[in-house]
Formats: sequence, structure tokens, C-alpha cells
Amino acid sequence: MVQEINFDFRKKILDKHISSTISYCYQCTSCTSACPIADITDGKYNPRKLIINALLGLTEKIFVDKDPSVWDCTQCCTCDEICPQHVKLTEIFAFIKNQFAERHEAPEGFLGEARAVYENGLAIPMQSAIKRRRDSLGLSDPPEFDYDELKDIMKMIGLDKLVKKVDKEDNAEGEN
Amino acid sequence: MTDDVSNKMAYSFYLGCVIPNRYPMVERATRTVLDELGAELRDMKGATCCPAPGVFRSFDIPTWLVIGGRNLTIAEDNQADVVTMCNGCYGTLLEVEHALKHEEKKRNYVNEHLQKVGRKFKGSIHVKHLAEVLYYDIGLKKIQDVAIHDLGLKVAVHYGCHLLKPSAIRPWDGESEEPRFFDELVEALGCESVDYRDKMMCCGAGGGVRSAVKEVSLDFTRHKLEEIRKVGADCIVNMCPFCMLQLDLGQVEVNGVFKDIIGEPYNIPVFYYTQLLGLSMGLNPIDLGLIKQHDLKGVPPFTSQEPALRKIFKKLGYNYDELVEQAKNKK
Repeated sequence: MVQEINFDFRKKILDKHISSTISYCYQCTSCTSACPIADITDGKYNPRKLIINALLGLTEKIFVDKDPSVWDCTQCCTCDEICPQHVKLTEIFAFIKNQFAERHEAPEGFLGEARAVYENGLAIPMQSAIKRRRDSLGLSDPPEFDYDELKDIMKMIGLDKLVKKVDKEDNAEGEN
Repeated sequence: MTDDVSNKMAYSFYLGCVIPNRYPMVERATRTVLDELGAELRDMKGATCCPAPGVFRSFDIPTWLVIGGRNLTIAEDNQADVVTMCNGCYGTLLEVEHALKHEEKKRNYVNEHLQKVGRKFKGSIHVKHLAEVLYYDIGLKKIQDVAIHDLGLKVAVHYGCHLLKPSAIRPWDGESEEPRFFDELVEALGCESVDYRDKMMCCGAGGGVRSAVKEVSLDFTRHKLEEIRKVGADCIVNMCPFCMLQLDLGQVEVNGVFKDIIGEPYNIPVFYYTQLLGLSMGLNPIDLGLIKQHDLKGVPPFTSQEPALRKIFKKLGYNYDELVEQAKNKK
């Protein structure tokens, strides 16, 4: 089957400010052989394939077929350590995940946690039982922070647009 | 008070989210131990989520950089390097620090935003993991000296990923495959650090995989637990609350999800290093947050630490049940 090349995405990936190292990849498979997720998923997750898909601009494979799915990466950086070409794979995978978020297609679990930071400034909020446990341990409350200051910053960067709920229909046209 | 106050090590104490809001007993133990070791901890007033290197960095790198940078400016106001108890916070804060110190474009971008809320990253502080503070700043030798009681446990050390990688900007001489520092810290407590297969493997929680693909995440944990059980470890010791959550709560989840393939359910106690260090220093188990309050529901540890604690207490001459009573009355 013929795969369409998304030149715009390819340019973004190759753009220096992300990581120019990707163009040095010669598909040696060191990353995949060292990857614990590849091991545990019997090769279903495969960092080498993700890199070649990104390098060639095969966005349908990355974003639609999710073959392999970038969301399986635990960012353990084992591949970064082993790559003979010093490709910063984890950074590239984080960038691809950012692109998912921009398309409003990040998995619900991710979206929920990003929203928690946007709405509370914390990924994991306090619970009443934990508060009581803190008291019994003689611990005062964690230092307070100015939530408005944080929200101002996040709005300035545009996080409010990224975390809002988007109906799937509104979003369908973005596909190539 | 003597006049060595000027020599006192001072740190900006970055709590993060998971420890204060899920594992406060780890904060208790760390504060108690570091105080005993003469380190001054300065609260980071105004600090927020680091933000998380997995979930949040994956979501939006620019926001991750700016919020991380904002947290670093608080340490700069404190005029003290950051110490964090969490591998995730360490990953974010250290990598943001490195980017802002070495990449002008990113520094300008971050400061452009911070300027609008009256802040600026100057590059005057450095981010350290608690393991680094213990091993280098306080020093392994000092730890060996203060750890007066041999705990006599067989320990499975779990390093966790961000403590070690990317190794180029970590303080462990580029070693990420066979590091020894954590094992040495554990051996200082009169414990044996047992080798086990895939010791350096991720706990499975990282990168937001725990949130997004739970079954893959738990399969990692199942594999680690299987290898740890094989070598007969009394407990797991780690220095990251997110790994701890995964190995502690995740253990209960593994027992459910994989009940048909694991045989016996897992019941391996999980400790944070400072909890055991405190015991070895002769500090009170209650002051180290080691005695669980069973009347509080939903509070960790979810996998009981009791079997390992009873073993240690027997050696140190404490009565476990008396301590439970004491802890009850202390409230």
C-alpha cells in the first residue's frame, strides 16, 4: 500500500530546534533490541519503526494506525543510551506526543493529568486521609503557591487551548 | 550551637506532588534523617508540579520548560541548590536546568514568559537528587559512620530510570548500566544488595504509560516482581515515589490483573531509602513514618511493610505491636 508523505511533519521533525540527530539514524535496531517495552509487548512496540516513520513523514502510520504507538514509551531513555548515532529518541517521541496533543488526540489519561496541572497546579492533588496522615506525622502543609501566576503563564503559552475538550467531529478534517 | 553553622549544607527542598500528597511518610523520614545529618532544608514557597517529565512533557514541551524554569527561580531566591526525592522531578528540573543553561534560544523563550510574572532564571543554582546529596555531599563514608545498626536484610535495589538517564548530564560518571552507588548506600546499612535479572529495567509507570496503557505498565511491574521474588529478597528499596507507587500499589494491581499467571500473590515490602537509613541510624520508627495507621483508608503503603519491619525490629530490639499502640496514642 502506498503511504503518503507528510512533508510538513518531516520538516518539523528535522528542524534543528527539535533534534537534528534523527537524520543520523541508519536503522541498526539497537534501540529496539534494548527497549524493555519492545520486549514485553513481543515487538508490537518498536522504537526503530517509529523513528523511520517520523524520518520519512509517514504520519498516517504514526497518528492513525498507531503502528507502533508512541504512547507505549515509558521514556526510560534506555534507547538514548545505547544508540550508536546518539539519536535523541526520547526527545523525538515526546515531540510526536506533543503533536498528538495538538491534534486533540492524546489518550484520555494524559489529557486528564495535563488538565489536573492546568486546573490545580499539581498532577496529584491532596486527599483528606493523606492530610490526616501528614498531621499525625507532624508535617505541616506543603508550601502554598500562587495559582493565578501559574495559570497566567499557562494561558500565555496556550495550554488552555490544548486541554479543552474537543468534539471528534470538529477535529476530523485535520487528517491527510 | 557551635560556629559551624556557616558550613552547614543548605538545600531548596523540592517536594513535588507524589511524596507530600501520597507518601508523606517518605517526607517525614527524609526530613528527620537529613536534619540528623546536619543538612538545612529550605522550603520552596510557591513551587508547583515540576511538571511531570512523562505526562506533562509529552503533552506540551514549551509549557514544561517554562513551569520547570519557574520552579528553578524559587530555588534561586532561596540561594540554595535544589534537592529532590523524586526521579521524575529530578528528570524534569535537571533537564530544564541544563537546557536553560546551555541553549540560549530556550532560555530567552522561558525568560520572556517569566518576565511577565516578575521572574527570571539566572542560572545560579543546580538540581540534585537526594541520592547525590547522600552519596557525594554528605558522603558514603559519613553514611557508613552514622548507620550504626546492621539491618541484615536481603534487598532488591531499584534505581529507576531518571536517576541515571540520560547519563551525560547525571553525576554518575556516565554509568547507567551497572551503577553501584545505590547498592553501596544499601550495603552501608548492613544489608545485602542482591542481584536480580533486569534490575535496571523501568518500573513500568514512567512516560505516563501508567495513565495511558495500564496493562503494559503493570506487565513491567509483574516481570520485575517475578525476578525479585526468584532471588528471595526481603524487600525492595528505591528512591523515587512514582516507582514506589508502581511497586507498592502496582503490586496489589498485579495480584488482581495477573492472578492466573503469577501463582502466589506478591507481598514484597517496598521502602524508600531514607526510611531504612533512619532505622540504621537508631531513629524512632514512628518518627520515620514506618508504623502504618490502619484506621486511615487509602493511605500507603498498600503492600504491607510488616514482614520486613518485624525482621528488622527483632534485630534492633523494638516491639512491633507496642509501636503500633504508641503510634495510635500519638495522634
